[in-house]
Amino acid sequence: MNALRNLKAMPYSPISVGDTKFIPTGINASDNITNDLMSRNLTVITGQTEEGKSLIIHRIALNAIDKGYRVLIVDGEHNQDFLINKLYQMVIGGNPDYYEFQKFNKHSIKEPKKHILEMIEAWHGDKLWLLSKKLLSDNIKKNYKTMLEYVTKIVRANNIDLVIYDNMMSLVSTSAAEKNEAQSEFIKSVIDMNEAYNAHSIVVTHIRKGQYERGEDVSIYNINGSSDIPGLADVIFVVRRNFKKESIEDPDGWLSIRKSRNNSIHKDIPLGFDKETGSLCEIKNGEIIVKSYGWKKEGEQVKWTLIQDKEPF
Amino acid sequence: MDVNTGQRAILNEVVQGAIYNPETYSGLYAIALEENEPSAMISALKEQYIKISTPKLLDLLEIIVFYYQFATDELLKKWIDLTKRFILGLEDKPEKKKEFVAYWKKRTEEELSLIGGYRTLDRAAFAVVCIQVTDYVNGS
Repeated sequence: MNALRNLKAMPYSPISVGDTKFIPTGINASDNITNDLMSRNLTVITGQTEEGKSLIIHRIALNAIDKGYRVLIVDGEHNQDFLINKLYQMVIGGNPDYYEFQKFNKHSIKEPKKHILEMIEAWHGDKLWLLSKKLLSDNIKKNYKTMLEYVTKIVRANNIDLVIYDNMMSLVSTSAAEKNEAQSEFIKSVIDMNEAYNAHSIVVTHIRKGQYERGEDVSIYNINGSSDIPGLADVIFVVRRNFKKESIEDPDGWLSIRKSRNNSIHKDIPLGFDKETGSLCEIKNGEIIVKSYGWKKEGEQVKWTLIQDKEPF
Repeated sequence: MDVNTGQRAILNEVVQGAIYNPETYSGLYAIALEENEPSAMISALKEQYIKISTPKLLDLLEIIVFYYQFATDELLKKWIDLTKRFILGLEDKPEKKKEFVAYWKKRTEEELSLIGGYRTLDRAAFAVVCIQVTDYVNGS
């Protein structure tokens, strides 16, 4: 397509899907509004600390893999093996028959049994990729531009469809004075990469500390860092936990659509915490809808109770 | 940090990763081969060669042919050039060079013995490479 268009010489032709990919998050109420996560677009997920951002992005990653997309999680903080264990538990669910329980000092860790692990590995195949900042050489991890260049090469080499950056603050190492400019550059580079390789990126960001009470709705203009971020993102989700839950009918949190470039619709989607998978799931007609993945081909399950016996998140 | 330092850091990361996890890094290794000057590749390979055995290095050199479908004529030519220059670059380490050449010839003989057998196109391409580099090593 040419940059300059004379509509007489080059008349309008109907919009086509072309090579655009549509990656569903698995949260139907959101996917219907945003038209899934479209390739060449950028989603920002924000919220306060420990309100469920990671639970949401992991769920999105697993859902994308289940639909056949290749996912790269660029992780700035976690231990790689713990992260994989957590992701696998989200897929496997809570059935104790599927696990061996191993002591880890004062805690017990759920390790999937060997045959279960084999099924999970067969399910994700080569569609799940992790890049842990902690394990990169100093010359890469200390310069976010170099790290992004490396991510771009990984995306290109392995045909990655969805890149999740968790989170921007931990990935962009720079001085406080240059922080805003660096984050703005980071986001612009991510957008360029999306465009060049027909990928979708999700960037996780924090909200400025001290601005809000826990669980309070937040403004996207209080995203920690560059003020350019709300303008550059195509979709913005705010994840919020319900600290005022009084009855089992109340949601455990919300996924709030605060920007959808396609249609400008804003919506708060209630979420319920499923303790078996450790996931935040959509609530429909008062029931938590837990999607199961294709590793066992069980189809969709409905949880019939909202009773929680432990703290979510 | 200048840009070149970053590019070198990525190249070293890729080469090192490819030695221990060739399947994971094969795509990145192919891109590195495409994007970098042979001198940069050789420098990264030599840096790793100090740390690893010759057979392991040969495994790495083979990655491009075995794990990736990038075996275009152009890339294979570059690969052959790279391998020749790598051997040439071992002049200052005669023992290593001797060991590498010996392994290379052995691997070539193994490849040639398989001709007409199960080989795939990728392996055939690798055999061609082996022959060309062996000819070079023999000075023909």
